[in-house]
Amino acid sequence: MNLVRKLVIGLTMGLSVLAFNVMADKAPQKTVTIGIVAPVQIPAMDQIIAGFEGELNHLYDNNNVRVVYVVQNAQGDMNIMRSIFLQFKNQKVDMVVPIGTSANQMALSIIKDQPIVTLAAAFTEADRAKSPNKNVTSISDEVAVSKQFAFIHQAMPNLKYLTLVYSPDDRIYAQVQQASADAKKYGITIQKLQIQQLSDLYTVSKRINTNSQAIFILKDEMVVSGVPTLVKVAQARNIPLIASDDGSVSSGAAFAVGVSERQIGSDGASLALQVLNGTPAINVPIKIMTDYNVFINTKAAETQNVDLGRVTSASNAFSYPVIYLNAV
Amino acid sequence: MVLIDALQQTLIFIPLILGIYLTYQVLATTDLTPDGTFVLGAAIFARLITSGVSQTVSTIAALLGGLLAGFAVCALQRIAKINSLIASILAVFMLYSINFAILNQPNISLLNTSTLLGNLQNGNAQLFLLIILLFAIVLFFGIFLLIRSPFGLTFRAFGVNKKLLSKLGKHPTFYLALGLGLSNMMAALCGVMTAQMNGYADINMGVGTALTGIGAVVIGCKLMRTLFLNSGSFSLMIDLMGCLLGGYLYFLMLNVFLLIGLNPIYLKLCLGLLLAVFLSTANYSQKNKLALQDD
Repeated sequence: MNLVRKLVIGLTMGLSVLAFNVMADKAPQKTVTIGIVAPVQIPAMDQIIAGFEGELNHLYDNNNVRVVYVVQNAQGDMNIMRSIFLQFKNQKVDMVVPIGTSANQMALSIIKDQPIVTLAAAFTEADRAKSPNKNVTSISDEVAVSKQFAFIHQAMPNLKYLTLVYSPDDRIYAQVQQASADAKKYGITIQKLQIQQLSDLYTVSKRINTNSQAIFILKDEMVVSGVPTLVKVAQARNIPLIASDDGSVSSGAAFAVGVSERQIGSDGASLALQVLNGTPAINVPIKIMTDYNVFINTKAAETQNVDLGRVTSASNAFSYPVIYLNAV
Repeated sequence: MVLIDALQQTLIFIPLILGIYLTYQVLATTDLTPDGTFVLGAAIFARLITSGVSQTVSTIAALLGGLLAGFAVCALQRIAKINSLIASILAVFMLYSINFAILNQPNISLLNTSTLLGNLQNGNAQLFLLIILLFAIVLFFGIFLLIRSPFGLTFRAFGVNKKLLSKLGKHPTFYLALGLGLSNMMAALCGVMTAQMNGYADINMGVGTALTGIGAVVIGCKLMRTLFLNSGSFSLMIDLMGCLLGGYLYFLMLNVFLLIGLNPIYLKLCLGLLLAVFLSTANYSQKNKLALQDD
């Protein structure tokens, strides 16, 4: 019993001392600290962060200021995320950079005096105008589903039946509804299959209709994690898997129209630079990404029965640069 | 500041932690349903308030939602005769669909909606802390008086000796339903408060909530009992204080781990290991106690 008591007192004191020590650690002068909050640990986050840091270091190169990045990952836990924001608030970091919609919402609730530069969130000028905290600017990577459908229709004019696999993610939901509307416009029937968790994907992939001519996925973190499962189905049925991000194409999807994750980060860096140079975040226009690329995996396209000639000519028609990714 | 941050986070979680104390320690049943009812509360509140319903009505509806969910879990346990742990896991499973249907989308933003805690948080920080502290104290004594009352005594009898309850002519199911209902109502309240503070209700916001609560209750009660009580005796005040301490320690650890730059990948592992230590010593000391009694 005594041992437990000592252990407990020691632990409590140790933690408190540790807390004070770390707090006492003041950063040297002429340093700009940027607190980055990633909600989950996925490759896309790493690429966004790499793009952001790389570009900001590049842009800030001439100045005599050291930029320190503190990257914290919430591991999908809301309590951890809240703790991270509270710490950034109290450490008075010079800028807070949340990634994604829910991180943005929490940042706006907690952070008051520091500028917020949000990456990859559904947040518009109208949202900012209504928000009680307006000290924020953001880069929205919402791939316009309408543009994707226009491209797909051009690249595969005979497409009449498409299967859309998606998850209950906040960004995805509106896109799925948009997809249904766009599909109708081009006379495409959509089979919508929702997964609740990654382990559902295998079962759901067996439900893909036999007359489906292609599988389409959005920039949907959960589904993207399971791309290999869908690649197998696509190969077995000789139909293309069409994605919305470069990572999925590297993992074996035939092609994708979208923005690169790295680009989201580096575009965000240019917003961050304006804020660091003294423009209040509220005056930095919210940017919606429009630099679309077409990502092609030639090897996958071959096994998935894709007419690459049509895909590249569609890319030319829309003047989207083509990037080949063949790391299957 | 870390200490205050942890305190603020603990105070918001007080309803949940006290609710879990009610089921885990008083009724001696393991109920993980708060993972779902936490979201249920937030979902009902967010959906109603963004549809123009008043804050008070939205909150009451959210609380009722939690209460009903608790009753449903009781029905699963007693009528369908499903093991309590499995019943609660099933309930969380089903609540996912219900929460989704209520939210009608995976995430409702409350940033543009005026909410009590949201407004307080935007105002004076000290005042905000004081108000949630007062609220937590009121809740604390509410639960304290409830369990101390003659009614609460029968509650405790359910956890200690169900057969006695039946012999006294009381219906155990009634007490289980009430306990689970109350506990889940508090989880829903916690969800409402969290949604207001964080500025959104999200379908995935409940992950791991019940375990956080159980962790706080186990660590806190164990600590307070070893520090202030002779082995074998029971004091409700010490136990409830333990719940607060446990919650506080949990959030303090979370904050300190982050502050010292522990790779977040290992954060859950560390917290989990610590919890395992406390859970296991709890069992050992109980065994020792029993062994002593046998002698």
